This record gives sequence, structure tokens and C-alpha cells, in this order.
Amino acid sequence: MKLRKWLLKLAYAMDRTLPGLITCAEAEQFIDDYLDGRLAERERTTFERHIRLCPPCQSYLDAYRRSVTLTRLSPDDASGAMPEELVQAILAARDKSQH
Amino acid sequence: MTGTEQTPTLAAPPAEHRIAADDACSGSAHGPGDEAQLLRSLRDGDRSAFEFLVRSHGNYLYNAARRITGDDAEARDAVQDALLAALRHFDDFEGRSSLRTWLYRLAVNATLMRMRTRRRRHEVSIEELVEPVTGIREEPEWHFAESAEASIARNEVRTAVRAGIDQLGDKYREVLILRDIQGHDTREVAALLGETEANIKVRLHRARAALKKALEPLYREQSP
Repeated sequence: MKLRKWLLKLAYAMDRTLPGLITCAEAEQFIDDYLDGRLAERERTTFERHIRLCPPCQSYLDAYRRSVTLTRLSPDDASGAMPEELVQAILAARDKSQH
Repeated sequence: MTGTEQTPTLAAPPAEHRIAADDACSGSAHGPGDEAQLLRSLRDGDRSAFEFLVRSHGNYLYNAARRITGDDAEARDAVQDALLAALRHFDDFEGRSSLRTWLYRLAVNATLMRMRTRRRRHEVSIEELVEPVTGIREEPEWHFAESAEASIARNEVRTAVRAGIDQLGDKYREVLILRDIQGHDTREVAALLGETEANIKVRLHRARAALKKALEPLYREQSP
């Protein structure tokens, strides 16, 4: 853990000149495309390398992914029938507009 | 709102969100299989054809609007807006999508229009909900004691997800709902909202990040 953090700090200190290293902020920009499987192989490798090296970003990614999954699994609470009075209101508005 | 078709053609929503048109007006001269004939009747101003349309597709449009707005009264108004707009624009419908998809698009646009024109009372700015990361990220180690499926089965989790979505400003909320609940892809959402895909991606990420932050207490409670 400490070694990983130290390595990341070293990378920042070297102005990220080490090949294939990105910052936490840069990694965040990849998250949605990563979850959608839309990253090119090189970007995906770079992103996954950062996630392996950076436990806080791993934890962030886990919670982010869980939130997206929970949203997608949310039960459909809008599956009722259109109220008859709405049907009648629409038809009445149609009749009014035709005259 | 315009009733004309706009390219790119909107793909139909995912199958799990579709509602069969099995509530069609029984005894009507119109059936679900003869859309071209139905369209001719609608263009001729045939009232029974319009009633058939309302009853055939109304549930689908009404529920789509309710999902987006979360407000029944607003959904009703939006569906009425959409169907009356359709009434004025049947001549503009060119058949590049199904009638159902065209109506869906009208309903989504009408719902979004309604949402944008009302003033939301408890809207929190996205900057207050999401802090940009600088330097090395600070993040606790989360633990998930159960699967997402088991988690969403609990009432408190469903309530937290809904509250997390409701706290978002409209322009973030609508993107999150269209993407993650309605199941549209980024290109479709961009077409629906008249925005660039890049803008939609930025909004989606901020919305998801804000929702993740709102749900953190759930993950904290599950930590050992």
C-alpha cells in the first residue's frame, strides 16, 4: 500500500514521464468508457494499470460501478395503466382543437 | 417541441422497457398490424383512429414519462402535450421509425420540456455534490456484504437510489435516467436532448459520481 502510494508520488514528481502512468483525475475520465467496454486496448491497459497501482481509485471504481448497477436494477415503479380520465382529457382536447 | 422527425432516427427502447400494445381499443376498425392505414385515418382526422392510437400507445408513453419525471401529474401533462403535438404533425411523420418510436420521442421531449420549465425547489448544484479529484485520490475502502441484486431488493436501498437521483439537477437527472434506467445509449440520448455526445458523457459522469457519493452511506453501513 505505502509502496504503491510512494510509486505514484514518484510518478507525479517526475511529471508523469514514466510511460503508461496517468493521474487519478485522468483515470476518472476513462471510467464510463471502461465500464461500457469502449476503451481501446491501449487505453484500457493504461487505465487498469492505474487501478492496480492505486487502491483508492480501485475502491472508487468499485463503488461507482455498484451505484450504476443499483440504478440499472432499480425496479420499474412506473408500470401502471394510463388513467381513463387522462384518455378522456386527451380526446376532449383533441375534439376542442378540431372545432 | 417539434413534431417533425429528426435524424438520427431514435432506436427503439430496450425490450424490457416496452409494454405490449395489448390494451388496444377492442372493436376498433384499426388493428396494430396496419400502421399505414392507421396513419391515413389519422391524417384524415378520424377520431376513432386517434382514440385507437391513444389507447394503443398511451400506457407506454405514460410510463416512460413517469419514469423520467418521477411525478405523476407532470407525466400526465407531458403525455397530453405529446399526443396533441402528434395530432398536429401526423403529416410530418415520414415513417423512418415506427409510429411508436416517433410517439415515444415526442413524449420524452414533452416530459423534458415540462421538467425544464418548472422550478425545482430542492435542486443542489452538481459542484456541491461532486468534488473534483486533485493529486492522489482519497477514498475509503468500501466493502459490499451482498450482491447488488440482493441489495436492491431492500426497501432502504431502493429509496436511497431514488433520492440520490431526485437530488440531481434536471440536466443531469434526465441524462442518468435516459441512459441507466431507460437504457438508451449515448448517441440516442444526445439525439433526444439535442446535445453533443461529448456533453452527454460529461453530464452522465457527473450524475453517476454524484449518485455514487449519495449512496456511500449504504456501503459504509455494510463495511465490517
